[in-house]
Amino acid sequence: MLVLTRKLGESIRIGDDIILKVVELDSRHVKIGIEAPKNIAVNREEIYERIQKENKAASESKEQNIKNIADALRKNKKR
Amino acid sequence: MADFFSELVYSKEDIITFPHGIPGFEKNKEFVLVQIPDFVPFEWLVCVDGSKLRFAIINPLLFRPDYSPNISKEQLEELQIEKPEDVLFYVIVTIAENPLKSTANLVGPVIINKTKKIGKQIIIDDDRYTIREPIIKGD
Repeated sequence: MLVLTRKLGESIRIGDDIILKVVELDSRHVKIGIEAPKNIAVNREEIYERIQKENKAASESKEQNIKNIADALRKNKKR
Repeated sequence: MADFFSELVYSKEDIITFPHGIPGFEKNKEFVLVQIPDFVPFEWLVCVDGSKLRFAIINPLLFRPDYSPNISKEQLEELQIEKPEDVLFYVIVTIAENPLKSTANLVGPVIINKTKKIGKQIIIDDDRYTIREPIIKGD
């Protein structure tokens, strides 16, 4: 991994059109400003990973189980 | 139980393209929406690239009528939405060991432009919602 040292207010440019800027610093946090083209999704890594994991779990849902919960939902509605 | 999807009939015009796939399945880009009476109110997002990938999905408003995540214009730009009627809005369902405790992912809604046939799972930055929101409340 490339590691660069930056001071508060300084930036890093990635390719032609992505800029990361250090906008705030304290002993435990760093706030980063991001400029990127609109078609580039910017997400916190841990959230992206959780969504990936959840999608994998969701893809393993069995049809029979979905049917069971569908039946339960329809019953709920009738009540 | 019969495989409902093995003989799925659809036409080319039904295919919805997810230009980036969805997180965890970035290479799977072509899906169709399937409604089967047995599964109502759930629908299926079925990948048609030969993989057996499929997701049970549901309109979140059916169990969370107040669901209104903050979605930015930029996140939607790619979907080329021109009018509200273009939009289909779903969340993906994960079945728990006890199906009645199953959850839906309210942090990653799936938005589809049904006119242009483009889809995307958006990741929202909104503390009010969780990845595992119970579909049936209580108990």
